Amino acid sequence: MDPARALIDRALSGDAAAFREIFRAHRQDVARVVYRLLGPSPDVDDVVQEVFLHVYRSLPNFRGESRFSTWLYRLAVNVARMHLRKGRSRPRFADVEVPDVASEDDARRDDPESLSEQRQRVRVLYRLLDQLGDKKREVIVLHDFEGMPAKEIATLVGAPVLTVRTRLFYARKELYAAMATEPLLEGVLAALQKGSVDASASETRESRP
Amino acid sequence: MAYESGALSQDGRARMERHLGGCPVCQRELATIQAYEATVDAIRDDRGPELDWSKMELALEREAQAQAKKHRRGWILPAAGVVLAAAAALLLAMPTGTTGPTVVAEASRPYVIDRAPTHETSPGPSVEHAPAMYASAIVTLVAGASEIRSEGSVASASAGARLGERDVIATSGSGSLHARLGGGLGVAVEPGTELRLASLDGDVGVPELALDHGRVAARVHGTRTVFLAGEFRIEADVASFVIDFDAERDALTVDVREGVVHVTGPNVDERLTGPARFPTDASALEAAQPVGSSEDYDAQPSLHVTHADIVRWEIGDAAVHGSDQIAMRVGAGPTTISGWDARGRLFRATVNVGADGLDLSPDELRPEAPRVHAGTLEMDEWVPVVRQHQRDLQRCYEHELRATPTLSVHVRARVVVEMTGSVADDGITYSGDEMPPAMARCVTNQIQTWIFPAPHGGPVTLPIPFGFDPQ
Repeated sequence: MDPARALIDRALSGDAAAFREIFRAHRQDVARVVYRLLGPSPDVDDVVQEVFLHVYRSLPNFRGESRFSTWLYRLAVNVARMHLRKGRSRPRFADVEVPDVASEDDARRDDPESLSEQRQRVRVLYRLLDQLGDKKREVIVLHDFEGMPAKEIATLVGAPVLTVRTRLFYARKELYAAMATEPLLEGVLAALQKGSVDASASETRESRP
Repeated sequence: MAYESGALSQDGRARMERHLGGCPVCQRELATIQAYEATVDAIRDDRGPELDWSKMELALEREAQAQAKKHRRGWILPAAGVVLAAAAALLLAMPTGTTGPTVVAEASRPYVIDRAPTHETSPGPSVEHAPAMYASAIVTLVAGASEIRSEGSVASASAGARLGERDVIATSGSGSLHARLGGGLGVAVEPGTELRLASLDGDVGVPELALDHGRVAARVHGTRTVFLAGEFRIEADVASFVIDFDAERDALTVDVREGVVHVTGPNVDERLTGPARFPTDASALEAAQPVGSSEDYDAQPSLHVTHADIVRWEIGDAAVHGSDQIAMRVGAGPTTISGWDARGRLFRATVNVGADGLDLSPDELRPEAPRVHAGTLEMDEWVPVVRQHQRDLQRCYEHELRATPTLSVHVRARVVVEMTGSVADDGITYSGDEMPPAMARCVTNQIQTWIFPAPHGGPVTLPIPFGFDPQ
């Protein structure tokens, strides 16, 4: 029996410590995916806690037909989705800057200028992502950010694989369009555009005899 | 896309680059994709937020134990018997403090106290109506038999029971119940009363409570609330009052202790400023039943406890909010006294109250482990406070900007808000960019003065992100 299954069985047989171990083993993953789905929001803590409340309560429903992590992700996606729906009518915390996502290790590794640019881009991307529909945001987060295969996403969101791929295509398209007209990205886009012209110009010269 | 991911052959790549050279739109598109890919890389490298795991673990612990127990037994025992225990333990709870808590009482009946939330809001009709958070509608104290009827089901009321819209609180001839409906409204439902939570959120965000018959004492604190009694409508923003309604005679008495209460009905439109009484005409007043007060209470409390830091008590099964001193009658035998300070720290003592009564000194209450449950404060309750003070933080930044014109600061402040709504003394920490020391002091001093609505259930930590860049 695999250790994850053994742990779940222990929890199901009434071992309170096993619940804690499940929490410790998966909290970072859940926090990351919730953070990515919600964007920088003060509610991340609450939603993560809510996910684990659901995990504890729904554990008897986990039949082992899918991987535990898939089941857990599905719960996290659902709880985040419910949270976002509930929050739609609430005022968004829009006019205060969102926090940085880059860790301190990054800060030591990279030079400050590009790091702050990168942080800026990450912030902007989360903001634009927030304007996408829930379903589109989910596929972007799960596929592009989490690196999850489309097939797994399909079981997770309960849609055919083809639908997931289509959704991803349109989600990216929408996101690119939003990025292209985002004033805060103008600088970086202009630089990249110039870079690609320079590169193609020089490479073009080289490639000719 | 294939170009971007490097999937093209060298020849294909060269052709693509020639094409790009003459196509600004394509260059733009490519740049967008490159920017997206680079940003996604940065996001992928991030492990995700470090949350306050230990606090969360503590909060989840109770659930883990409950679930473990459930799985072990296959079912959970219902929390029965609490009501009776409460009735036995709580004979009297009365205030000995000096700052005038609300007293809801009738001679020879148990009563409870509730001091107003400690954040200052001056009473008056100009108080802005705050959104009521009925998620926290909860029974805080039960004495004697009372029921909560939810659609189709009847349950014995017990402390901690949650209330929902359209629930009916029904007390027996000897039972009373105290409920907190959101942060700004507390009701004590006196014996022989039926109170319907007609509309908690309401169409216009104003809670409506229908008093079918009996007596209810209410303390409304900054949450406009409407009570309906027969054809009468009793409305208040900030007030403490007792409504007595005899449905058979269609007779209404409103005793306003403090604040302003607006009574309307058939041929009635009166605005009462406490202390005042409705009906105001003398003959009707005589006919009305007298409303009890603390003075005519003859029994002496047997237990006095005082502790300056404590804002919430549980003695036996009675819960009392907002008073640092408690005097109550307790039955013979061991009684457990629990108290929580504004930070949510638990103090506990188990005492045996003899015939002569007992005065418990503060140092007999021993502090215990940190609290398990954090409180809650909804975003729409606390965000306006931050908004209101945003300019203050900006001034701190602008001051510093004179010294360092290129200063860019992005910080996440974690602010601990105590149960009273004020910021804990050492309750502000920062992550993100390091602020210059003078700015950090300025920001800390500013945040320290903020007053939030009192969180529900315990202290909360608010993550408040802010960032400033030079123009």
